[in-house]
Amino acid sequence: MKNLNKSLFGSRQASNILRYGVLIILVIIASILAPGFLSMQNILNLLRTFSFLGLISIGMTFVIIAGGIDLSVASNFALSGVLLGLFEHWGIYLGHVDKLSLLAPTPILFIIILLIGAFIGFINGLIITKLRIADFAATLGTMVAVRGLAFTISGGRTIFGLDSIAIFMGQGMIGPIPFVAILFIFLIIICEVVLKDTIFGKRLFVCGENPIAAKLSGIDAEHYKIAAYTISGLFASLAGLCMAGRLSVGEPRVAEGWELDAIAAVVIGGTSLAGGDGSVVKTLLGVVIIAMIRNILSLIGILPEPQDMIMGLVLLAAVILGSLGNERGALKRA
Amino acid sequence: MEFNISSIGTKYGLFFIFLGLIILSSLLSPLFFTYANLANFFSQIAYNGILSIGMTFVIIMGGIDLSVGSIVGFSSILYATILHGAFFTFMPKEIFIYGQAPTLNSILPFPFDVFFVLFIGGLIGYLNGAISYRFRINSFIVTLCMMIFIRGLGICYTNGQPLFGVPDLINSLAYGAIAKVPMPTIIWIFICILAGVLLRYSRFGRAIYSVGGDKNVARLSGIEPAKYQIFPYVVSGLLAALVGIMMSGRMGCGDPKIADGWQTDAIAAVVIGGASMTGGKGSVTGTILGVLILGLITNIMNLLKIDAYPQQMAKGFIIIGALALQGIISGRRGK
Amino acid sequence: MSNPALLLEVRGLSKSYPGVRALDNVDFDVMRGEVHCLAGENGAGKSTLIEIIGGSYQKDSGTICISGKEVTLKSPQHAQQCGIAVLHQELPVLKHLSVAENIFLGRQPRNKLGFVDYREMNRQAEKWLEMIDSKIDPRALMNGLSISKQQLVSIAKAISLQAEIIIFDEPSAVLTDQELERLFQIISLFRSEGKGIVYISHRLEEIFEIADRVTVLRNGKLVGTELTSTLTHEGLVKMIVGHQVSEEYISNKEPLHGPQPSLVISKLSRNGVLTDINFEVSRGEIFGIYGLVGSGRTEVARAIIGADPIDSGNIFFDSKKIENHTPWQAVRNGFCLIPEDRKSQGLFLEKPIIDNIALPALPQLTSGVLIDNKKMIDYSTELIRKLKITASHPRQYVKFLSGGNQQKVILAKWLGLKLKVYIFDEPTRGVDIGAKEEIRNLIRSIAQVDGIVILISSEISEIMTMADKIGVMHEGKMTAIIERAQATREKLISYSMGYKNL
Repeated sequence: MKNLNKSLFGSRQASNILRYGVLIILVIIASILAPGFLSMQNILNLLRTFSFLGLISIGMTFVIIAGGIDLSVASNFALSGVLLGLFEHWGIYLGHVDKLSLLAPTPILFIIILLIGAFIGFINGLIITKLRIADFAATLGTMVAVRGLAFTISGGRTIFGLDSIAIFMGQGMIGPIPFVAILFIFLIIICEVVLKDTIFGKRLFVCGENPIAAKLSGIDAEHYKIAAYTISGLFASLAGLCMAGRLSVGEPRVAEGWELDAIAAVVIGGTSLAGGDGSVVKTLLGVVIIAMIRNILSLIGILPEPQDMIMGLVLLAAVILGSLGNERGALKRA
Repeated sequence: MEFNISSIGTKYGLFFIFLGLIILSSLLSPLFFTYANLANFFSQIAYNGILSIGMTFVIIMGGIDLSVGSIVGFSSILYATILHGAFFTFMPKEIFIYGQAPTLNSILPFPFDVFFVLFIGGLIGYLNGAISYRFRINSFIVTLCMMIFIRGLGICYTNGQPLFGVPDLINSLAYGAIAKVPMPTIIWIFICILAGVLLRYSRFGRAIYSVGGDKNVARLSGIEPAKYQIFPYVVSGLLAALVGIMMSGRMGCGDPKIADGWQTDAIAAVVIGGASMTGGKGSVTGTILGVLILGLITNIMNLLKIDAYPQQMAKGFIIIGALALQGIISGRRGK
Repeated sequence: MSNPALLLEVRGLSKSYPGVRALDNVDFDVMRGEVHCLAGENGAGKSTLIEIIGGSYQKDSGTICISGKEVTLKSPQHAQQCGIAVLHQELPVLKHLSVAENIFLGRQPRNKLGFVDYREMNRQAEKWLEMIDSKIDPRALMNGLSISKQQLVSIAKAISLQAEIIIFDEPSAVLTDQELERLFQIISLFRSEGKGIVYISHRLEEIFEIADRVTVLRNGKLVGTELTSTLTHEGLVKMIVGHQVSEEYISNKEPLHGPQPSLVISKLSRNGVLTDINFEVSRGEIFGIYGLVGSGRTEVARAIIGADPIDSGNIFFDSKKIENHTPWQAVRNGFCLIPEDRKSQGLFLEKPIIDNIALPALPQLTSGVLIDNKKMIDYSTELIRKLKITASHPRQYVKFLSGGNQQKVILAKWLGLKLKVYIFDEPTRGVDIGAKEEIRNLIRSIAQVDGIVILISSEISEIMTMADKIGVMHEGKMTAIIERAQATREKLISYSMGYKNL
C-alpha cells in the first residue's frame, strides 16, 4: 500500500513529515529562545489565539477546497463583533456606555449574527458564480465593503461592554482549557467528518477539482461553491463573536490582515490552492504553525509589522513549494 | 450612438458619467470651480493617478498588483533613511528627533538617491512578475505576500517611526506648481503621456496587449511572452516608488505606514476605466477617466459629509459593480 | 531534379506519437497556381501533415523543400517567413484589438520617429482587405465580427505576409453559401497569382469544384494523388474508404421490443450549431452517430444531456416529455454522457478509483447521514470486478490508469445506477486494442439489458459493427438515418461529406 500512488503519494508523505518536523523544530526553538514559552500562561494564550484564527481557517479550508478563495473573512469577523456590540446596546447606541440593553436574549443574537455572516458568504458565492467575477476580485470587493459597513455601523468607535454569555465565549474556561479552544477542536472534528464522510464533502471535493466533470457527473457545481462560501462566512462570523467576547468590546478594527494568516494556515497545512484536495486537520497543523511562529516572534520582542514581513515570506514560500509539485500551478486565473 | 449598457462601458459613456459627476459636484458646492479647490483636487488625485497607471499595465497583462501601497510606504522610508545617511541598518535611536529639521547627510547625492529608490521599487516589481511567471502562480497571491513583506520591511527600518527631513526640491514636488498647475498633477500628466505613448504607439506596448489577451496567439506571431509578462510589474513597482518619494515631499518625512489600501483605489480606477481583469483590454485614457471619476465620487461623498467608513463600503460596491458591468459587456459581445 | 513550378515538396514525411503512427512516409507537393485538396477520414493524418508544414509540429523524418530549397521549419513564425500560411479552423485572434492590429501583430508599421503609425497600418490593412473584396473596416474590433469575417481577416493577414503557400483547414465549415462563393473567388485570385493553395475539405462537391489535384490519406499513409479532372466521385470515395470487405454485422439480440421507440428526439435545434435533429431509438437498440469532426455529433449529445442550451426541440422517453435543462437534471431523468475528452470532462484524476465510481451513487451508499465506507468499497469493487478494470488497488488515483481502464471507470460509475439512456462519445478513442473490444462488449451488454445506447464514433468500422441504426451528421444536420443492413462504408462517408444524391 505504501507505493500505491507512487510519486504523488511518496511526496505527500514526505511533505507531511516535513510539516510535523517543522512544528517540532519550532517548539524546540521556542523553548530555547523564549523562556516564557512553555509557561502555562503562554500556552493558554497560544491556544486562544490559534482558536480564533483556527475558526476562520476552517471556513477558508472549505472555500479553498471548492477551488475559490475568500478575502472577506476578516471583515466578516469584524462586522460580527460590531453587530454584537450594537445589538447589546440597542436603543442607547452611543458607545462608551456601561449599561447593556439587549435587543434579544443573547443566544438569539448569536443566531441572528451568524445568519448575517453566512448570508455575506452566500452573497460572495452568488457574485462569483452568477456574475462570473473572479473569486479574489469579488471577495476583495466584499472585504472592503463589509469592513466599511462595520466602521459605519459603529461610527468607527469601539463599543464597550458585552454580556456574560458573550464574554464566556471568548474568555471562559472549561477546566484548564479555554472554551474557544474546545469549540475549535470540536468543530474541526465535525468538519473533518463532513468533508471526508458525507455526500456533501465528497461532492465539494470533486467540484473543486473539476467543475466541468462534476456537472457531467450530475452535480450542480455552482451550488456547492456557494455553499462553501456560505460556510466560510458562517465560521468567520462565529470567530468574530468569540473575539468580541474575548475583548469584551465590539471593535471594527479587529483582525486586519487575518484573511492572509488564514490563507497561510490552509496552504502551510497542505491544502492545495488549486482546489479539490485538503482537510481541516491539515489546516489545524497550519494554524498551529502560524500561531507558534507569531508567538515566538512576539516573545522575542519583534513588533507586529516585522512579524507580518516574515509571515509574507512564509506564505510565499509555502505557495511556491505547493505549486512546484502541482502541474496545474497555484490558483492560476481563477 | 445607441445608448445601452455597452456604450456606457465605452469611453464616451465614461465621459458622460464624468461630466455628470462634475455637475453634481458643482451643485453640491459652489466653491467647486475655484482655483484653490481644483488645484487641491487635482493635486490629491495625482497620487492615485500615478499608481493607477502602473496598475493599468498590470491589468492589461491579466494580472493584479496588490503590493503597490506597501511599496509606496517602503519607498518613502527608504528614501528618508538614505537621506539620513543610513541604509541597510535598522536605525539607531538617536536619529529620532521630532520637530527639529535634522541635518541631512545623504549617502547618495541627488539625483542618485532618488534613482536608487526608484530602482528598488522596480526591483520589487520585477520580483513580483518573475515569481508569478516562473512558478506559474497567480499574481494576486504573489503580490499579496509581497505586500505584507514589504510593508513589514519598511516598518522594520525605523521601528515604525517616521523620519523627518526632506530636501526642498522634493518638497516642491508636492507643493510646487508650474504655470499654476500643481506639481503632482504635472508629474501625473507626464507619466500619463509616457505610458499612453508606450502602450499605444510602440510595438512593445502593443505586444503587451497581445500577450495579455492571449499568450498563444501572441506566440504565433513571434512574440515571446516572458519579458512582456514581467515588465508591467516593474513599471508598477517603479511608479509606486515614485509616489513614495512624492509623498515624502508632501509630508516632510518618510513614513512607512502610509498608503495603506491605496492599491484598492488604483484597481478601482483601472476597472472603472474599462479594463478587463482577464487581460488584453484597457487604456491610459480610460484609467485617467477612472481616476477622475473615483476622485469625484470621493469628493462628492465628502461634500455630503459621508464618513470615511461608509465611503470605504461604497468603494467596495463600486468595484464589484464595475467588474460586473465588465462581465456583462464582454458577455454581450460574445467571448 | 526539382520542378521550378513546385512551390512545396514533401517527401517521405513521417511522424509518430506514443502508440500511434500519425504519418507514415507521406509524399505531398504543391505547384504554383494550383489548388490541391487534402482528403481523408478523421484521423487520417491531414491535420498532422499541415501542422508540420506550418511549423507547429516537428517531423520525425522526411524532407520539406520550398521552391527547391530544403528547409527545416522550426516554428510557425519561421514557416511564415518561408512563405507558408496556415489558416486554422479555430482562428487565433485577439478579440479586443482591431482588425488591422491583428493583421499586423508584431510587425506594426512605424513612422519616422519610431511610433506605431495607425493611419499607415489601417491603410495597408485596407489594401489587403480590399484585395479580397471583404468590405471590412480595418478599425473594427475583432470581437464584433462574425466567424466568416474573422476568417477573411486571417486570409488578409496571410496575403500581407507575402505567403506563397496558403493552407486552408476546412474553411467552409463555418461559411454560408454566399460567403463560400466569395472564398472561392479569392482562391481563384490566388491561383492566378501563382500561389499554391492547400485545402482540406470534407465536402465532395467542393473538392471537385475547386481542386486541381486531390491527395488522399488513410491511417497516416498516402493513398494517392490524382487530378480531379480524371477522377470520379466514386473513385474518390473508394480512395478514402479503402478496399475493405464490409464488416460482419454482429446480430446478437432479439428483434426490438414492440413497435414504439422509447427515445424520441424531435426537432432539436441550436442556433448556428444544430439544425432540426430528429431520430428515434428503441429499447435494446444501439443508435450510432457518425460524422466528421466538427459535424455536430458531440453537440447533439451535449444538447440531449443538457450540457448546452437548446433553442427548440423536444426529448421524449416512453412518450413522456423530458426536460434536460442541466446535466444534473438529465442524470435524474436517467440520461448520462460518457464524454469525448475523458480526462478533462469525465474523470477526477486526483481521486481514487473508488471515489470516481461511487460518485453518482453516493445517496445509496450511506448509513444514516454519513457515507458507509464499506458499502462504498463493496459497490466499487464489484463494478471493478465486473468491468475487469486493472489497477494495483481500488484506492489508486485514476490518473495512473491506462486509457482503457480510465474509460472503464467512467462506464462503471454509470452502470451502477441502471440508467435509461447512455450516450457514448468516442468511447474507444485512445484505447488499446484489447480494451477496445472489452468496452464494445460492455456497450453491447448495456443494450441487451434494455438500455438505450447512443454511440458517437468517427471510426467507421466501429459504427458498422455496433450500431443498429446509423445517423450521419454533416454540418449540424442529420443528413441521413440508415439501417445497418443497408449501410455501406461508401454511403456513410458520402453522407458525412454532404453528398446527397445516393
